[in-house]
Amino acid sequence: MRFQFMLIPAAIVASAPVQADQYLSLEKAQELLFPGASFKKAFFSINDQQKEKIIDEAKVTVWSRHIKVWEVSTGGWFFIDQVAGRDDWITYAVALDEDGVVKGIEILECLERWNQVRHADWRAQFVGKRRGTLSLEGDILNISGTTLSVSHITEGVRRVLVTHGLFVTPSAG
Amino acid sequence: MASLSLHPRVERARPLLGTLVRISIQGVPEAEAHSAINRGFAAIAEVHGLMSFHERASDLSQLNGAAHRNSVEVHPYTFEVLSRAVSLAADTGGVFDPTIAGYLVDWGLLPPPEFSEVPDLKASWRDIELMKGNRVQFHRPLWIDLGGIAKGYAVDRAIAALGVDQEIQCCVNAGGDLRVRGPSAERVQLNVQPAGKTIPVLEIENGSVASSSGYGLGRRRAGKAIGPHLDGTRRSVVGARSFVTVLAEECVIADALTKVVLAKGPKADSILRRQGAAAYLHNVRSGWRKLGVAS
Repeated sequence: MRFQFMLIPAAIVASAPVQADQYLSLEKAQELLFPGASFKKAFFSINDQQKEKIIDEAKVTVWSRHIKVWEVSTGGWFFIDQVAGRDDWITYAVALDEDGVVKGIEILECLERWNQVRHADWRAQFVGKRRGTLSLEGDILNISGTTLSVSHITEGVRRVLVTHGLFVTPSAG
Repeated sequence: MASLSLHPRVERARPLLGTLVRISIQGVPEAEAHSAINRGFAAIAEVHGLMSFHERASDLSQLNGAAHRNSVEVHPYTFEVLSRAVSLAADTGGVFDPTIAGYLVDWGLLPPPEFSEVPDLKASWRDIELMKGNRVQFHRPLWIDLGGIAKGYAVDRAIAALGVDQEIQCCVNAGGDLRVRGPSAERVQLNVQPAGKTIPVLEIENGSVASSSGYGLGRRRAGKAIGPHLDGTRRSVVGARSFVTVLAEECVIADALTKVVLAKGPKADSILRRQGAAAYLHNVRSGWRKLGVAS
């Protein structure tokens, strides 16, 4: 184990743009959750009454009336949903099998409040800089001390499950 | 370094252990990286399933429900975490104590389990008996919570489960408790609250980082301070004004020791040294302080 500690001025960070972390493309998430399958778009919109029905059963907010769902050639469904937490905005995929059981979840994109630091040009200046044997190069890719709660993803998945149960039916043939 | 650039860095995230778990690999073909990451996530899900306080079917719930009546056989992973927890409890004179769940439930910080028997609040780690054949028995009714150690253990299991060569750069980050392995250092921002004029950043190579703070998490109940981090010997809240990051080879040690440093402050130095660990402790009034082994 080798390590070093440094302090960077918060001022450099404040000017950096906030960027989202990209984990997976839509296509890659589909391939990982349903290997070898093909996907048929089955998007639909819900009306006020349907929205209320989902809220009633799932006990969670419905952010969007536009449901992004794909029917999977090998059986099952692929949903894209978004949730907002106190400090983050997450786009994620939920895979359901033919029986509507969650088969997997993958995060596609995550925008965190702390992300400014990750992308700031902090290398130029250090406070209390102490050069060791380490590289001092590269981006800051990790954060410690912020335990991001994912209870809003749990709620989002519940909304997807209720939406699926109420309004999604396989196409004929 | 040149070999790293041949393959793109692959990073994925899943909601696990109640937080966002990120796994990244650089230095193998993309398809191989994805299979390795799948194995890493599966290892974390397995540890979670065994050691969850909330889930009735977990090993931990089986123990908390029955081990005071008769010995209970647990999964080797659960046994290993309990062994590590008990040995850390011994080394820290009980400052780290996994048997404090009764207090956390009492304070409304953990959901009450549906067991008939309430724990004896005088019970401690000394009442846990680890037996042959991965069997565990309690000498008093008690509730164990592995929240202070299992996340770090899950990170260690995931790093092992990736099954990639030592020369491959990889990182498993479970909500800020992380382990880095491979030829390069990784940078970790320490998110200290309240934020000051500077931002602390760690560079770490082949090691683990875990942080804890009770700042902003403390509350009062019936005139008494309560919070998620407890000194196991005094059974009182610690860390309301401090933030700590611990560095150790294994994430299980880094994770557990954060609670010890919050409780003991600079006096944790000798424990950190014995465990081969270092810590950066921040206090609202006195600023940063380095403890433990040298970098």
